Amino acid sequence: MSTIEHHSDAGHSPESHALPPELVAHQQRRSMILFIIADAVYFACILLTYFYLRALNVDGMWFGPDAKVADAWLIWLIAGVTVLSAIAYRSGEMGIRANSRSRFQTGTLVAVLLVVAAIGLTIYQMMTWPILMSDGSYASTFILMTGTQLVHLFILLFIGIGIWNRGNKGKFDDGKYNHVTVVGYFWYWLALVAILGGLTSLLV
Amino acid sequence: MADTEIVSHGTAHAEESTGGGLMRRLNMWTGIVVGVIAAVVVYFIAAKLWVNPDNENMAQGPDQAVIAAEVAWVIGFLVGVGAFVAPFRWLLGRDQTHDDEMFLAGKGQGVGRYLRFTTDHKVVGVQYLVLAMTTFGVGGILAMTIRTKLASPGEGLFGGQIYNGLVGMHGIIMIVSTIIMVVGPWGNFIMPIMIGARDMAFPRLNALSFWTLFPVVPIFLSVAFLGGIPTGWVAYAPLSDQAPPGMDAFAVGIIMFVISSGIGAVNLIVTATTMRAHGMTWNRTPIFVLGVTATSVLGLIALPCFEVGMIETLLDRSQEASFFVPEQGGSQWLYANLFWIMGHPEVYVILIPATAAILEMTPVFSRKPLFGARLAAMGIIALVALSVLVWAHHMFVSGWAPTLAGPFMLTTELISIPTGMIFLVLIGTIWRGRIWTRLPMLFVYGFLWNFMIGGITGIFLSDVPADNELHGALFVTAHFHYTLLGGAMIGAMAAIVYWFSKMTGRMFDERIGTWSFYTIMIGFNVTFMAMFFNGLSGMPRRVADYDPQYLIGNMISTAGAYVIAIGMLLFLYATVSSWRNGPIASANPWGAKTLEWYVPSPPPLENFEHLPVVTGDAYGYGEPNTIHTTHPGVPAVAQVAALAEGDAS
Amino acid sequence: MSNELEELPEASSRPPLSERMKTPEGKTIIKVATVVSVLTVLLLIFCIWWPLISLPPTMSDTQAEVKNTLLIFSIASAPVMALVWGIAYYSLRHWNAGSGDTPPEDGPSIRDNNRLSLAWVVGSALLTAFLLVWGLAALTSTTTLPTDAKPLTINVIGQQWLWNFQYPEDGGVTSNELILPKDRPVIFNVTSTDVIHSFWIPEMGIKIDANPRVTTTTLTTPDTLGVFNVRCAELCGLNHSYMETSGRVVAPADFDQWVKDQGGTPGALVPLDVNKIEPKE
Repeated sequence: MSTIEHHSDAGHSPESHALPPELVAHQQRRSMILFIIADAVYFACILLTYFYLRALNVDGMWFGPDAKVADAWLIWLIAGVTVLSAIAYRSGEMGIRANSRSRFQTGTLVAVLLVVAAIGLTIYQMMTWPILMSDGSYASTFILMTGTQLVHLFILLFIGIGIWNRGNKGKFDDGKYNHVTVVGYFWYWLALVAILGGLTSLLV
Repeated sequence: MADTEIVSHGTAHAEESTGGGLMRRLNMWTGIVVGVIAAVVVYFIAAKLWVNPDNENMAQGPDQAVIAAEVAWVIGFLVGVGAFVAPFRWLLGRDQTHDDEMFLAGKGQGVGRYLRFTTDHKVVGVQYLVLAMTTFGVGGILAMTIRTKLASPGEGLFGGQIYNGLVGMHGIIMIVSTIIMVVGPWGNFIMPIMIGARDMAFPRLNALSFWTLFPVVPIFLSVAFLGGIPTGWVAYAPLSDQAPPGMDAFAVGIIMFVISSGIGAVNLIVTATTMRAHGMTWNRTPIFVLGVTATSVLGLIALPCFEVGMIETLLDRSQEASFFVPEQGGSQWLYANLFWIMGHPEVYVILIPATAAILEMTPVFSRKPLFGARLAAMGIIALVALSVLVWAHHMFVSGWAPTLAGPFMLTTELISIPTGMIFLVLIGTIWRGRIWTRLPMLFVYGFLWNFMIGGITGIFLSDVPADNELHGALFVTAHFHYTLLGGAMIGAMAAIVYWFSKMTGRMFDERIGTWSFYTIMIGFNVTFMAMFFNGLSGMPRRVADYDPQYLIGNMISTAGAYVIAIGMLLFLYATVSSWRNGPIASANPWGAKTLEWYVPSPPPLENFEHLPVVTGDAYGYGEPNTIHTTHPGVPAVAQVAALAEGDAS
Repeated sequence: MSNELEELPEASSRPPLSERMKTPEGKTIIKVATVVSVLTVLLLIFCIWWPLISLPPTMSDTQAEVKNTLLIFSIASAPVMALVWGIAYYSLRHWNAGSGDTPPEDGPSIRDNNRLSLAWVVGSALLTAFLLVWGLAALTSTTTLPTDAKPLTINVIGQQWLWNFQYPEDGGVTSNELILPKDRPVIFNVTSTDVIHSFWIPEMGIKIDANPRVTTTTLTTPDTLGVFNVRCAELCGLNHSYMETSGRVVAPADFDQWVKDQGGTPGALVPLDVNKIEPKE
């Protein structure tokens, strides 16, 4: 879902009741932080699932007889692509702050393309990996974690395309880039989750 | 403005709003149509794909089809109601114009705006109130069915399967209704006016939170036609794994509810923390605003745990995952932990806003400042903080971590200290006041009575040896009905009576309302006092049948439940009839000082012509020199005079 | 309005207590104290009568502890309830300004009383501390085995919707009825074959969930001969309300006789893994 609210036509009507832009920017940043906090609780619950079931290993089903460890190189490739896309986005964000439109456009385009790549790789991973949910708790939790990340990447893709497209249409400049900042929070958070999720693969 | 585009528009000042675009053609009905079509199509596709008669895991098939269909219903509904129009316009860079926003806010649309994706916080508040009262009515009918069946032992009206399903549905529908019944209507309608704002921080998110909740209600109703949830609303695994497809619908409903309340909570927090009027420091902020904010924080961090629990339950059921079912390598205690980490804060999500509403109106009807306002704020914050640390007291008898029984007994009993603070604030405010015994004040007294009993019996249950005897018995049922129905629900009804005139412009019918108050109080105490006795003498919860020794208690309970039902119907009648043709209310019939009483009843679109400046807190009763608000450019004395005139008219 | 409402002059030098009690405020306090005291007495009567009439007969040391706890908690809560309700009632009686259409004139502007607040918080904290200490003591005594007698171990297996009891120390006797010897500590190892049940003996004040794949433990010492109930206290499906059976506390000699009648040998240890046992139909 888009968490971005925008009021338009500030100076349009003499009796305009629009909020001051710096307040709106502040609200948008705060709302995204709150959404990320809720998302972090969600992620923490999945981590709790992971470590709780790993510690209990009920009936030896933490790692069932048919289970296999997901390919580490693929996990880290996806995490790496996600982190790279966040870095590219950050570069674009710094570009718009310095009023460099071209740097912003390049950065966000690369970032969006890397998200597409991460989505493609995640789908490839889910199509080809050798485990099913029924192969034990590790498989279940890991697939759930991957699926959750995939949903988040789709949301990120939507928002990212929006940022890139709006940049194309000249909606941002060095005094007006709050949406870029707010979306950036979500982007970095997902990169962090990709790393944390990848780390769990070291603790099968 | 950040990211805005100045568009010159010739018709901007015309009376008729021309904005809206596609949104003009979308409303609740298009949402329902698209949602139903999506659900039916997806169900048949999914059934074709997954329900294979040759598959020995045939039982998994309907689960997947039901999950897919319910999700398709929600997404279809949101598409049909227009929830995704604005995000796509944002994506395409075609931002909404001022006219579009005015249309979305419901300008010049009459009653139709209540059936649209309308962003005005007052419309959303009314929508929440109607929805909450409807769902509460459904839950009440289920409760009456349960009590009717329990009037006599034996098979009776229906058997265990239907009974267990009814108990679960009664539970979840009441939980959802009580979570939304104060924060939904009054957090959205009153809170922004109370802090001197023209709308919520994110009006479209506000509409989205309501319209995400709306499709949840049909989902919960569809549970009944999918075999019910014979697990109770706690949906403990592994029993939830045996349940019919109703369990899938239930889980999807919970997931959507969590998303809806998360969106609403973020909006409320941001609104309350950033949009308070000039001069409204936290010390001058009305206690209700603080309560709603604290509740939203708590809900935001607690409810995602339930979401994870439900997603994992769905995967256990549809994919044979290994989360909660021991046969599949899961742990039922993991579910119990996830559930109760959400479950206990959720109780305070229900309770705190109702308590804050009671705290808000006690000074008005005692004509005295809120006694120890700082203590009240500290009490609420302490409740929020403690409530995330006590979840395992629901698991004292589960066998999980017996060594933690002592620590959790400590944290649970600590809760009685902030609760005691709130009681001190209430009686301190009443003490030596001029008790104006209008209907809201009666509800304050009802709250003092019921919630005291609910709180005291909670201390009994916090004691581990006593809990070993009482857990799972009717004693617990009676305890939490005393807190949630007798405390929170009474607070919510007080809020309805108190703010009714502001929402509708008409006065609540207090004559019938008073009758309903006494009827409900008597019926309620009879019903649940009898349950305390039965519970102490060993009758378990959630049983469809019982030993004859519990007959008298159950008959009393059932009789009392019918009295409650009569009282609730009276209240409903008073609400509806007052809404239609109650006497016209003045701007400030209670002579209260919070900001919502400075605007007309009902408030106009965007509430304030000039934003107020706050110079003191809202409880300056008996302090002739303090006023809560001034408008820039208007002398304070003139405003007070105008306010007094408003009283007289 | 009565003259109690009038503001008192600030008492800079405090007169003796007997004098202060003659002032209007002092009279108010006496009246409130009277109301609260009467209410306390009434509530105490109710609070003592309430558990005594409702609780099932006490058949174990655990249940005796539970009963004491409930009584103590009830007695401790009576004055608290009486204080809040008494003040609320008194205020409604004496400062009732009617239910007119216009708000009554404002009352005194009392915004705070730090000493009262502090006293209230400290008082509730002390009460909480007392209840906590009491609870911890009761918890310790109900979870500690008496050392003077050899405990009897019984495996309890819940299944939908039956209870099975195994006596691994008595030749592996199994039964659907729970027979316990008097005055001998019993350790229940509780588990389930399907969903979560909750093993509850209301007369003995013990309850522990029966979880699949896990064994949970509880203990008690039956001290009264007689019949008791075993119930399931956790919703476990269709026939949850019928998942109950009865039990008897018998004299130790009768217990040995019962074991022999069931084909077992008193004291013959047959270690049984509760997780591997197929329950009886």
